[in-house]
Amino acid sequence: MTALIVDDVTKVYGEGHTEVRALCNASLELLDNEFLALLGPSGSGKTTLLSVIGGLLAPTSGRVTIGDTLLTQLSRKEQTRFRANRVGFVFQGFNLVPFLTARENLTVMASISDGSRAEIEERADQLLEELGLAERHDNLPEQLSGGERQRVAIGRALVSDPDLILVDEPTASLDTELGTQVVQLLASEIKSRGKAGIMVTHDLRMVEYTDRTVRILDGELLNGT
Amino acid sequence: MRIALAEMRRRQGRWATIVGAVSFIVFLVLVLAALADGLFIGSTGALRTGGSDALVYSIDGRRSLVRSELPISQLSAVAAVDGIADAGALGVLLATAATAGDSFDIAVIGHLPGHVGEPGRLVAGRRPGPDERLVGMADVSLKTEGIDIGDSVTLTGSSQPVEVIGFVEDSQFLLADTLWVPLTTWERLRFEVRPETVGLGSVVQAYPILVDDRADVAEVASAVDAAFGTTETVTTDEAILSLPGVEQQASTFTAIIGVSFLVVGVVIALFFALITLEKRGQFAILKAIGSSNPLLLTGVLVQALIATVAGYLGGFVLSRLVALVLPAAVPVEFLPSTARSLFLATIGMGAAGAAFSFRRIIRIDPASALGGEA
Repeated sequence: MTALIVDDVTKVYGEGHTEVRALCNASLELLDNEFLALLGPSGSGKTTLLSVIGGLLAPTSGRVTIGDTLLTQLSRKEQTRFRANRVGFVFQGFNLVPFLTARENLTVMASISDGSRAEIEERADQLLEELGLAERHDNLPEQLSGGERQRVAIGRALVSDPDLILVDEPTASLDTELGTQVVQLLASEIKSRGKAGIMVTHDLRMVEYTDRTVRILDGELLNGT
Repeated sequence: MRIALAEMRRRQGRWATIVGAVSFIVFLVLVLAALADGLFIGSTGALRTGGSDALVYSIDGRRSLVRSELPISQLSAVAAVDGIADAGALGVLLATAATAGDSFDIAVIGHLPGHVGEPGRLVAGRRPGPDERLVGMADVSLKTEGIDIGDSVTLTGSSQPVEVIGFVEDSQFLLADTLWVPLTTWERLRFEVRPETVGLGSVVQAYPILVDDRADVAEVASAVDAAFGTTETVTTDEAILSLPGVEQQASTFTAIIGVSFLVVGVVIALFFALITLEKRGQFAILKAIGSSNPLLLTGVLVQALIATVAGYLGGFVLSRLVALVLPAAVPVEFLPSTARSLFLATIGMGAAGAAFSFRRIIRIDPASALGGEA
């Protein structure tokens, strides 16, 4: 089934002389159980596209559909709720809440999403086990290594059982070896759950762990659909 | 809210800073308020606890319990004015008194036993009867001068000792200790201590009056003044505020306390402005993963309320500890009603201070969480 349809999306910043077209008529389709790499240099528009897909940024024109929901038609409030329940994010760097333990960084989603606390706590424990963090569940981010922090971030993205996982430069703060391990783990977790995922990267070495690669340059998708 | 509570639990050092700052300001405010209450109570008890609705002064006395002079012979005519349920008399004599070993300033207040105007709160002994001579009730503050029931107090210039037969509380006059004696005794003492007043005859300073349940105090006051032409009748509240320095003290302390509360609000507002700036990235991440603005703002509000409640409790404990070591001469009164009002005001200012960060938090763009900006 189609998990995501990006249909003719354009994003323009500013107007007149200061106008910048960050995305030009971008179209893309993603199936369930598909992990896609969005590859492009800095300033190519990949973060803008990820923001539009995640409902963080409204496109100037075009439509984004996730599952059966036309995301671009939802209000800001509805989009926030949609993100909490249907979209998982893994951010560049670790971006964990620094004063929450590894487990709490996952169970925080119980306060944010509509899922029941018991369900999310159970899933969090299961994820920590799978991610090899069971022994570290009570540690604060500052007590974890870079790889462990990124694994916690992956756990947080998955704990509310979203349909779509958006990953922003997951290897930016890691060395090559650790970065590879994290992307492998990410691919495995996404695929094993039958989810759809998009990973923004400029690291060519990471695309081999994805099902498909789409390149973006100057806001244009070169092989989107 | 769990995030907000976890932050406070795990970053105690940071929160201790704001709690400490609020504690010190609250401590200052509580001590100032206790001083204000102490000064007010110590200045006004003689009028406040007498149970009167209004006081009749001589018009040229300009509401002063020292300058006003009314002939005692006029009292029955005042009591007969329509709407008056009871009328008493108050005479004030500022003097120096001596016990066996010490001398001290004292306000000797003459009153009519059994009538409005006598101090309301007898805490030990008994009240003098209407016909008793050279007996009186002392304010409990006189216990610090070593006076007890059965002791005698002799005024400087008088040869007639007054026996203390009871103690009343909250009956001070302009921060002076008081001795309440029947009017006949008071007049004898006055003539002895201030012989220049003999020529004035039998005068008192004011008639406290109690109006009928159905009568209007202002209307009765107007009726008294219209009937005599030489009196100025004011409500007891007005009479209290007319006591020298009372209104000025109250407004000065109110201004200082008000400014201190503004400081509480500003301190909280600055603190939250700083941590909002610092946590900008974190708020962006939380918004990106689906946190709503109300959820984030509730967390900030809860943190502000906890910080202000903890700050208030810290300031409260500190003020009580300081009260233990304050000299007895410092007129401080820690009233539960004041503590309650200040508690609510502190909470209000804390919430208002935190609310200044709300707009900043609402404006944080969740899209800034992507691209490594957060």
